[in-house]
Amino acid sequence: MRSAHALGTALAVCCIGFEAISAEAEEPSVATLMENVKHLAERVEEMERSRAEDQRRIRELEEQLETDRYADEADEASVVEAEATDSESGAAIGQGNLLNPAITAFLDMGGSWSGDKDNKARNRFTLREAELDFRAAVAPRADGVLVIAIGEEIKDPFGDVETDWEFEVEEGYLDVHTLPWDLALKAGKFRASFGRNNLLHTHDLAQVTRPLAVQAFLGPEGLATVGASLSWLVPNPWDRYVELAAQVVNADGGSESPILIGPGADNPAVLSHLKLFQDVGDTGSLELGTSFLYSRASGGRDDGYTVGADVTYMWRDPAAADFRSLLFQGELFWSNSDFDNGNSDDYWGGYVFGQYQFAQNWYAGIRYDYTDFPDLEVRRQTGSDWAISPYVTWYLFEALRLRLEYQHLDRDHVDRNDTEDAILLGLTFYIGAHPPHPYWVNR
Amino acid sequence: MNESRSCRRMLAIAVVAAIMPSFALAEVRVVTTNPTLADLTRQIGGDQVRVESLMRGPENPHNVIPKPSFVMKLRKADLFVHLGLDAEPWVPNLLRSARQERLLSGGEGNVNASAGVVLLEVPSKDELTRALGDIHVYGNTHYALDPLNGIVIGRTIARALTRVEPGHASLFDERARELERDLRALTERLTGAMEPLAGARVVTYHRTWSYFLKRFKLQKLAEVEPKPGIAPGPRHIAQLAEEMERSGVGLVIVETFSNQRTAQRVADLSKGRTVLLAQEVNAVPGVETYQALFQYNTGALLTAHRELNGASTNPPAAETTR
Repeated sequence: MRSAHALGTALAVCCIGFEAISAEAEEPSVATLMENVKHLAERVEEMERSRAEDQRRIRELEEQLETDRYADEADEASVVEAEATDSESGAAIGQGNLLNPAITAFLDMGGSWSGDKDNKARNRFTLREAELDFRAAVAPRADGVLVIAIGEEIKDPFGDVETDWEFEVEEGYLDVHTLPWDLALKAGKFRASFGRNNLLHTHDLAQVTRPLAVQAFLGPEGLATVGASLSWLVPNPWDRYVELAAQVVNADGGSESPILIGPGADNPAVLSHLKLFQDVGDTGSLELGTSFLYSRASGGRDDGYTVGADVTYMWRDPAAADFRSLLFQGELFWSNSDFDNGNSDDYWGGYVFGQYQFAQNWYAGIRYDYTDFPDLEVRRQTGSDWAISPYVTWYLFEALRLRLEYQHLDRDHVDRNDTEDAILLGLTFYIGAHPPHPYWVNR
Repeated sequence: MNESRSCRRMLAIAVVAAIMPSFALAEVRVVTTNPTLADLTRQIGGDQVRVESLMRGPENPHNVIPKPSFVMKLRKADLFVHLGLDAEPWVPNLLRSARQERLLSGGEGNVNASAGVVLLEVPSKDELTRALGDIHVYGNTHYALDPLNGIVIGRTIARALTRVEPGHASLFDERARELERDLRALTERLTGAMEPLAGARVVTYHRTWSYFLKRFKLQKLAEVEPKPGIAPGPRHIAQLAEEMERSGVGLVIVETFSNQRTAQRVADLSKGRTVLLAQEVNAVPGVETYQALFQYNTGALLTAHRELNGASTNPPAAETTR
């Protein structure tokens, strides 16, 4: 546009110039002519300069336009879309498959050799769990999560061993992760917010086994039942991370957790968890939590409630974050039940572990366990267990991990007072989509 | 034209000055995943932004542990600038936890810095397997290490800032242009300075440097990691050192998050030397801006090259051919 305009102006100027020449043609003094020619030459020179400047600017703008167009396109078209259009398989597979959830399959294999030779379950390899994890957005601000686990169950470990494959929807919930007023909502079956360990799937555990107290209080694989959860980031004047979760879940059936009281319980059980987080220095952090669970009466037993406390300290070497780290974690459980006959009983348990990363892919740690047995059935016969378990973890690759653990277990039961030593092995890997990073747990 | 441009600028400044008192505190709050994006945002946003990076400079961008304190920073952010692609696998969960709709993918506050960047090493379908290590499915994610890509990132940031602060649109635009001029001049100057090394072959620890090497006309002989993200074993190290000696290659480029000792072993075995480069702003002391990063890195390479060739009888790397 500008160059066209300039051209027009140039023509007009030329015409005026010629008119001037012809008008003065009657008395064409050489001096005047020379003057005119000089004038014209100056104008032409100026126009050429302006044209060159215009052309340079046009080139600049064209370049700019080209990069902007490119950037805009890239902005809008997601890479996945681009992939769909440029491959012939897009049409063959069908566009629908491109919206399939991210799928990760985890395999968790264990092995143990125990001094207790009678217990066959403690002297064999097991495919503890094969887990299929599906995740995708359901809607803006809401994700769907489905975790299906297939695990090997050993029946009658002291007699004729029989194995069975147990299929379970470990989690299946709608996660409305972004709501106004800093709220988030979950509905479906999910791992209950009771403490820290309970949130982890078997393959994410820091040791081969779940802590004894978690098993005794929340169930062998932790507590996960159907219900709803509301979580709130509590605004506070110190601008610290304070999260309060309130959950309402089924208390009857569907869970092996003794503190939910069991099949006869009235629904629902109510859970709450408060989490505080604080950075410590540049690369350290401290997390404190308290949990509370209340479940209502069933036959022979009245209301029951359980209180938990957890603490986690993490540190990474600022100079070598991938090579040195420390992790300390401890949890306490305390449970109280009132009985119809007026009696009241309480139980407690807990664990603490420390883990040190001494090389890029190597971790060593030790865990101490203690627990009573709040389970109504078991309680009458048993007292308590404690155990100490040193372990080493080696990540051969990001998706492949080996773990070796030694466990010394001391039983102080009414009918059994002994110790057991065992060597435990764990092999875990995943295939498929990169799993969501376990939130604030070291690898 | 220049007149009208400066007129516009003056007008913009006048307008800004007029409304300054009432908006003195209304700066755009920006959180970036890494210090490089933070510096670029600072250069475009100037006094109109307050920028904070979640990651520290020396860290590995792929292995950051997201903390609840990150959530607190994100909650107050108007913009969240990240590398996009699959560079930062810790980001999606973090964004879900922040509970801010504007920051979610597609929201006006979510700024994907990779927009418009031409990626290198985009894997073909056959290469999409973990048999090849920690692969990045969209291509190499270290695109910010080409100074000319900084121009594209700068524009993306300027557009995003304009979205949330349209009043300063011309200011952001002008700064993006200024950054472009600056980076073009810097690139020209540094590629010139790197002439003694043009065509030279080097070894890099991780596949971090593809964009950097291409821009400054260096070639890669091999990587210390047998495959991206996989630690080398003794045999691989020995073979690599042998290959380096055979090819007369002596420089081992290592980033701050990689194993310095292993890199040193490779250098010792091959009679070469390691060069610690800044893969990120603030990765090494003194590298506090995007421009300083390239100045530091090219300077360190030139020094290492000089020292190596002064100290050894190997033919200069630049002149060797395979």
